[in-house]
Amino acid sequence: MFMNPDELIKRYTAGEVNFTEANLRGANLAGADLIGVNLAKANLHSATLVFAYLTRTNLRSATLIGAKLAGANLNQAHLSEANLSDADLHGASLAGATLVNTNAALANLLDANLMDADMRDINLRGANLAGACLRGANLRKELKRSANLTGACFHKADLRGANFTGADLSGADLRSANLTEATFTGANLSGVDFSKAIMQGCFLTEANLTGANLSNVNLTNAKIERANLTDVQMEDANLAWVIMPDAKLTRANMVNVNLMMAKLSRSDFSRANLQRANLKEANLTESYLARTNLFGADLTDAILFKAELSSANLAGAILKGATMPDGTVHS
Amino acid sequence: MLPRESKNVAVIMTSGAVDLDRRMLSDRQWTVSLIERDLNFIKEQCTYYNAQILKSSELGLVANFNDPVKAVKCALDIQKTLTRAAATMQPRDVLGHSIGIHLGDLVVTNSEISGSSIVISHQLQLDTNWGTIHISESIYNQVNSVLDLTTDYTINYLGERYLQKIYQVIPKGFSSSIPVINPLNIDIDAIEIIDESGSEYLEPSMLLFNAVVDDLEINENIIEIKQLLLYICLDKWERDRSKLEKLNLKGLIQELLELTGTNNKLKSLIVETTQTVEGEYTLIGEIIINEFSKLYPKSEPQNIYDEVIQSLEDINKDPIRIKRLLFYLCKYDLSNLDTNGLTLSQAIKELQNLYPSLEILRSRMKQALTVINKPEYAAVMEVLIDELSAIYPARSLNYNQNTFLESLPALSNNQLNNQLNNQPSHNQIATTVEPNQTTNEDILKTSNVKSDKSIDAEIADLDLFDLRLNIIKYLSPLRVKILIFSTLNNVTESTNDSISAIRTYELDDLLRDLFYAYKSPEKLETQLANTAKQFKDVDEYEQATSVIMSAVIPIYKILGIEA
Repeated sequence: MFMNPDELIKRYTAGEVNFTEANLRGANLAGADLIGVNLAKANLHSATLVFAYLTRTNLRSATLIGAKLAGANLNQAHLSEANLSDADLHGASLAGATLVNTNAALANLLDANLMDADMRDINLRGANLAGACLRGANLRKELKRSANLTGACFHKADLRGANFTGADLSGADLRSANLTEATFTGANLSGVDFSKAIMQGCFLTEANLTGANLSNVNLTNAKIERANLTDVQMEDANLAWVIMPDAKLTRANMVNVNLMMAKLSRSDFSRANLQRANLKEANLTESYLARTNLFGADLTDAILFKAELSSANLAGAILKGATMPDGTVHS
Repeated sequence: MLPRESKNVAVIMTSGAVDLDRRMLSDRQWTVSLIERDLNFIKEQCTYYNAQILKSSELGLVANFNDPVKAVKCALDIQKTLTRAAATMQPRDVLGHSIGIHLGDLVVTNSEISGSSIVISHQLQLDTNWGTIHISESIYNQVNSVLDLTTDYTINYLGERYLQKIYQVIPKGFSSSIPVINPLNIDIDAIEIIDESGSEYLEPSMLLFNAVVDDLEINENIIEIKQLLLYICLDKWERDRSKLEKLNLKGLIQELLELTGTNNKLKSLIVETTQTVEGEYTLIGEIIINEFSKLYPKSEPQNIYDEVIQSLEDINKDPIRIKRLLFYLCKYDLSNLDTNGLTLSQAIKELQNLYPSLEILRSRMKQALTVINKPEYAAVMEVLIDELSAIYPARSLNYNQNTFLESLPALSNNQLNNQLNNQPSHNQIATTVEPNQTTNEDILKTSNVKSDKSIDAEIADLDLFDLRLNIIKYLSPLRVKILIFSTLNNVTESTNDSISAIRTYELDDLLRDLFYAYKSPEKLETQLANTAKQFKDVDEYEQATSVIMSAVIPIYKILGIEA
């Protein structure tokens, strides 16, 4: 059923709401007021909806490939199963929208508002989310599927309190993003660039951070239990008070990191570089420090009880007051 | 036409004479002739390396190179030749030059130049010393692989500034001190220190006063306290316990407070006295000082200067010598030693103006020490450097900027936009006196003058996540971007062109640009409202204006700008 946009507006103004499966391919509906309209399964391929008012619309399973939705208001809209791939959502507002299992691969969501949006199982592969606000958004893994955010750009994005449990963010760009108290439990963050990101109190339990760049990042109070941090770059990072037991930090570059009072029991630091690291009062009980470079590290009052230290490089390390593997206190 | 799009990337070298203000002050004509001499040489060198000279005045030279390698080679040639020449000259004939090089944006409109390349290279030039060159990361990366600088030069990594890694290039064997005209041989210990600081004694509430009296009355050493107070006030050493017991403590305290005036005078009077009397009166003196300090309004340090000053007042650090050294450094090549009522905080600020970086200050201090020729000041110097290091990083974008920038037309249409920032903003600070549930509220006014540049540095560091949130909660982010972009660029209509241009900006950057451009909320509001009027859907943009305004006011407050 091909429909011309004027006809749609006319019928909508007359009170009709249900336009399920309407064919509006390429239609120009810029600035149109269509709040609450039902366009489920409609074809809006390449349609122009710039600055359109689409609050609470039903766009479930709609085709919006290449649609122009810049500045549009889609607050609380239903977009589950819709195809938004390659769509332009620059500066669009999608607060509280439902985007479950939506395909938004390669979409442009620059500075978009996705606050509190339900984005479970969404596909945002290669999408641009720079400056976007995903505060409180839910991207949690559900059953077998998980949100695909591989290679997406989140530069300066506001991700505070967002839930990325089990999501795949491998190779994503999270530079300068605000991740305060965001949850990445079990998420795939391999190769992610976190430079200048704000990550205080971030939940990274069981996350895969292999090869990620965390240099200079502030991770104070973060929870990183059982995470895989193999080959991670984190020189000069601040990890004070971090909770990181049972983590795998093989070959991690941790030069000059601050691990003051961190909980690191049973963690694997084999071949990691911890030169000049601050490990004051850190708990390293039963940690594995095989061939770890602790040159010049400060281990004052640290607990190294039952730690495997025999092949570590401790030249220049400060061990004053540290509890050694055999339980004796270093003087 | 969108000015943003006409920008391109350029290698900019900025050179300028070091220590110009002081040289000009002491011998203007001679200095101007020296500048002319050196500028001609620098221009020649630049032309030789195919550079385009964008600006040249007695304040310095700005040249555009098409190749970073050429820029660095040119800078090295200039410094090498100048320093070699300086070695053969009388101090009076030497003029030190500093050079900064940066690769960044250059915007040329109507013969006016601006852009990050100019601003940052100029900053680098100001930060560096005589004979040395500061280059930014962007230059270093391109030059390092081509030129082998390490054989003839020392390259120091100086840390990150202006979002760039900064490197210093110094010819080997060259000491980076500035040529100084020898100061008169003066006796530093002759500098009189007027103890001007310290809180004024103000009539406290009776409650507080009585509390202090009561506290002292129940002290186990009350007799000794009274004895000491009597001695200080009336110069009478009473040994008769019964007489002392009968003494009215309240009257004694009143007397002493009137006698001294400020808490620092009180402190020094008590300390002096206890040193002259026999026995364990030092402890008694401390008890009195402690109790009395409750009567003075205690000012919490409001800014970094207050903290530094409070720290300098610490007796253990030899405050008198520290102050002497400070005043000496401020004035030391002037013939008289009159401190002219210069206060400690003025002296520190003066010092900061004279010595743009800690490194320069240190080298200056070392020179001063050789002239002072008093070993006890070596330790004092270390303490002073240590203390002052607190104020240096915060003002890295702050030195001597305005004169130079204003001489470059439109160098920063952002920054020149208003004068409001040069006016002091008064913060009213309520201070409280701690003990005994009594609050003696006293309003202290501190004037907090911030320069444009230090505000710009603060803007660059602002966390704008909450601001963005507060705006997009109520508005379409795209509409906000269009309004801001149009305001900043004087575009009247949102065309497809401008929308695709906006696509290259993040809201975060646009908001920051707004603060750079409008340093007063009133001006911003007028501009936004004017721009809003020009759109077809006026209502939408007017609403946007009001939302933006209410969201940015708290940020202006953070920047110390009041509505």
